[in-house]
Amino acid sequence: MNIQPFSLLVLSLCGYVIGAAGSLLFMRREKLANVFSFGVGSLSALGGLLAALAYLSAGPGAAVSKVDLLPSFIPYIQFTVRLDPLGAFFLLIVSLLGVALSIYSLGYARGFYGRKNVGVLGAFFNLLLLATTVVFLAGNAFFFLIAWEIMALTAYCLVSFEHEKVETRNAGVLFFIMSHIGTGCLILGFLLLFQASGSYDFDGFHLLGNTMSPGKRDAAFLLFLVGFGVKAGIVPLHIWLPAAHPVAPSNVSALMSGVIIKTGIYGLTRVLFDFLGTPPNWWGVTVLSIGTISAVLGVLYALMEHDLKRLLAYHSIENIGIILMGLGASLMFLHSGHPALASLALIAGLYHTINHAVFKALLFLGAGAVLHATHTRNMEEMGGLAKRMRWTALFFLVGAVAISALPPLNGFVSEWLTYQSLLQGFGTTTSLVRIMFPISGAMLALTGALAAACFVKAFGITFLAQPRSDHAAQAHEASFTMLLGQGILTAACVFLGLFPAIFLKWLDPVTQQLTGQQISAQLSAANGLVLSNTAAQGGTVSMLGLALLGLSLLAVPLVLWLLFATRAKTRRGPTWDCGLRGLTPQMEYTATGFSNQSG
Amino acid sequence: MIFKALFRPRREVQREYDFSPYFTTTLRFESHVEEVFQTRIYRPLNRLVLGVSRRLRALQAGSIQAYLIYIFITLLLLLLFAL
Repeated sequence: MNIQPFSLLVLSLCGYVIGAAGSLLFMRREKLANVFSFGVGSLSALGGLLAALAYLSAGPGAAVSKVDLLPSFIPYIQFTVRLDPLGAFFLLIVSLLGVALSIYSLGYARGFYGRKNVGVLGAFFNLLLLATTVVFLAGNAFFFLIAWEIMALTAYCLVSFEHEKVETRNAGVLFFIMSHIGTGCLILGFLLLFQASGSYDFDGFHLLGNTMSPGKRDAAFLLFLVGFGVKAGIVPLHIWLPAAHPVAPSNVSALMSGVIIKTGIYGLTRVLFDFLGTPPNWWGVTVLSIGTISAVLGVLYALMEHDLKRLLAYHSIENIGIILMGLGASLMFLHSGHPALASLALIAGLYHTINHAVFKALLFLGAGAVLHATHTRNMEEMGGLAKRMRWTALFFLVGAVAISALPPLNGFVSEWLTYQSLLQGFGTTTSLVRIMFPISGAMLALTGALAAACFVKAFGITFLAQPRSDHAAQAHEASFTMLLGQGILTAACVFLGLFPAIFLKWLDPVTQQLTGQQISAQLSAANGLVLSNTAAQGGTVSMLGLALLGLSLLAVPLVLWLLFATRAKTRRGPTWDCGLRGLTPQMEYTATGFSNQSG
Repeated sequence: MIFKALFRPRREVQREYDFSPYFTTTLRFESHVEEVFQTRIYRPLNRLVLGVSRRLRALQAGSIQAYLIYIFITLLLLLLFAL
């Protein structure tokens, strides 16, 4: 592989810097600052996206490219940027979201004109994208931690952007404190690794755990689990998440939920699969249990929310749980010596990572458009928006179907892969912990059902029926750039759902790097039209087939209508309103009533 | 309700009526779900940390002499351990 994707990547990093600097330079002229910062931001992200795609599609043979961004003056610290398969996969996520969110922000930031400083927003937004990209690409523990802290600081500044409100300030401080507890654990963890290897280079950490003493290895595991877990938002370290996500501007919430919490997943994957070597069984059991608990509790709390953005924030906890189920199962398979199954579970986790990034960002952008139009986050004051915001409603519906793991969209593919790996897990070991697999599988099923119920509520109460407030009645459709941002993510949801075989091929380099296996060829059958698990009790599913089936079912009501309704007598009258004077919003189901907590 | 232990729901309904409870004139409804993790884990933890720091404040007398003593004692202990 030539150096081309890598130079594109370095160009994109420079682009973010230019975007941030220009945004501050044009601070006094808000329109120019808006267009410049988010325009440059989207172009830089596009560069990163192309680099990641070129690198991953080149196949498992692609060499790891490295470059020192700055000369190093201090021993042990190198500012090395390194593009390897795992980093490239997460680069794909951050860049894809960077493109969509920057375009969306062009329209969204107009809502701040005359009220807030758009230049500052744009500068921090670009810096956050830059820092997050560097987190995924850093090749040195010190450089990683520096980028990690810049990311936390800029995220803090963005969360507290509307700092006039007490709620926002409190949420920002909570995020700040939790984030630092996490970083403290990370520093200790990296020091343990340094003690064993003698350098801070990630190259030197590769499979380091196999030479460490078991006690230190376990300590490092726990420190990294807490450190990255805070950022990922695992239960019980999740409390900053439902506080910070809702109060941030919506483009920032989408970035936080889509990418920032994924840095925790990146860190865990990097450390557990790349650095710490063959895991003892209890690591996998711990990660799987935490995943299961997070998934169930996250969705239960989400069901109780009627603040649209808080509801989405709790769903992030749920989805992080599902991702961790995949990673945990993968660790357990690595322990019991089933590398192919471990790759399947790892792929399930990583696939869900990008899926969640895409659909959760999409939903947050939809929530942002609704917030922009109605000036409230309370679902009880919404309703009837589908008539006034047609496109937003459609995009939100696609996101809701995807997150509820309904076929044929992307959420279904990754949850199907997770089920496949969990269901096969029972036979891989004879120890008692195998009971974890069916329990987690059942919990995942429960989670999926509750998530679907929750999004029936979120979509129904927000977009259907009559408006419950004047704001909702006067809502207007979002601007073109805001819709375009959502459209890109909607297209990504559909692509990841309908063509998993293409995407799985791009995951081959990652599994080759981490488990030494490539299984995309085994997973796809019939020229990539069918997704199939070739193991003994494996299942088979065709996403395109499901989509076509769904479409052809649309014909059934048409046929029935032609057969019966055309001949039937039609009578028009008012809807039955119990003898009162017309239907009013007061008769509608409320969000609270939908998930009645005391009934 | 199954998840009562988790959610600890609280619901308050106040209604005012003139002659019959079926014809309510004003209705006030409030419901609340407790966040168990906040109240059961983080609040006690918070209280503990603040309590300990309040005790430790005694050490921060602001007197340079006292700090020099602390440094001296620490150094002494370290040397004793090292030798």
